[in-house]
Amino acid sequence: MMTVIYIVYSAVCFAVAAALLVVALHRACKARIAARSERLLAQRYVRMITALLISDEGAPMSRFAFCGRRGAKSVLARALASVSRSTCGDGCGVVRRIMAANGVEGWLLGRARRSRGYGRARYLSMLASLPVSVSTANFVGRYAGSRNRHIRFWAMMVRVVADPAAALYVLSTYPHRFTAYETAAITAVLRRGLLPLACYPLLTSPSHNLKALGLNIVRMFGMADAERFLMDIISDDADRDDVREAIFAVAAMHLPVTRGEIVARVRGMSLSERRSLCRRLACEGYSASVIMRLAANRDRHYMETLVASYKRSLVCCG
Amino acid sequence: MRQVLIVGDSGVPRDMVAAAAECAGCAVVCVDDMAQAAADCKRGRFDRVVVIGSAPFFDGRMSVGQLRPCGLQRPELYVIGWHQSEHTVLGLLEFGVNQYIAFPVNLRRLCRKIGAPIFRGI
Repeated sequence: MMTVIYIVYSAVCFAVAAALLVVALHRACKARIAARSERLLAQRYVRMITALLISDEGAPMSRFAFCGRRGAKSVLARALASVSRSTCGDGCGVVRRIMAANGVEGWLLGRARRSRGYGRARYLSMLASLPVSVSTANFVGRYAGSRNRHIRFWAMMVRVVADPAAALYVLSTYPHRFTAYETAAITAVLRRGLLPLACYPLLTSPSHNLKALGLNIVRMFGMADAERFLMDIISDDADRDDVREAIFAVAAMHLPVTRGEIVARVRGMSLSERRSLCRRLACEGYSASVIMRLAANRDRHYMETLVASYKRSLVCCG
Repeated sequence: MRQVLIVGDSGVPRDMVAAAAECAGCAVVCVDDMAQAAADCKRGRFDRVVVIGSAPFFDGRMSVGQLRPCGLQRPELYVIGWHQSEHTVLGLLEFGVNQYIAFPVNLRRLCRKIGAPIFRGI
């Protein structure tokens, strides 16, 4: 009797384990097929959007294929946002017509409203990549005071992109300091030619955020003409962060860093800031004698080794 | 019909450049990395190679000589990347790259550039 019970028990266990395995395999296969079809759909949408952007004939846009399918609108929104981030020029009208024909803007807005935390920030960042209407920008204004810094930043970016004429005002009245990532995100929009901002007025602005943006532009484009403005910030500015960023900008452009103003400011820096600057100088290819003038006494040996290592790697690469 | 090889991880930039090349009337082949591109360049006769990203040229493993036999002008090598610093661009051009195009790109201009006649040399 016990043997029969044991056999039945083993058979049931085996059957349950096999059923669970089959279910897990089925789910894995289904997820894989879904991911593959999503990838193919994204590829198809990117190609369609690109072709429309190249051959813009101003004709009314029809709804994209498979757009009614579950998950297709998310794929289309991502494809539109990615293509918009990587392109510049006069394609805003086409993107706007694609969005209107497929209801992308309303869908993204609805998703942003229903999501929380980083999910909402993600949908807002997609909206900020697209040419949205002013009514959308007004709607997302409610997230400007969010506790999540990503949400409030991307809500601000939606407002900036929707109304570029007011960009300077919106950026300067943003109540929090931009992080490096946020400054880079604004610069990426600027590179697409969407914001009417000039660099030099940003450098002389009293707002820390606008100054940080100006310094980022100088570093990114290697604008050696801005040297005068950088030296003004280094010698006169009271904000330590601005001064540090200005010195880094000078180093990024390979301008002389042993001037009196810069040396005086570097001496006032904390040890970690000084070390970070010296590492940057070594990375940019400044000579050991220059770095030694700026490095703290206790760091000199470390800097010598660091410079030697950078030089060696440069020679090897050549 | 011009033969164009596009090198880059699969993703939106590669699909976008491939679509632009197709709009320019080119026959497009896409590969994932430079090793595959070098092997394809040895086998096939591509007119243009478009590399998405400048990183493959900075690690010292890849040289233009692996894509284009020494002394020849073909295939022409275009690089599309996010760098805009003068030093980086000059470095790439001195390395033998024919054109550097920075993101964000104007798709119509990119289409014209990829579909332009090949420079045959003097």
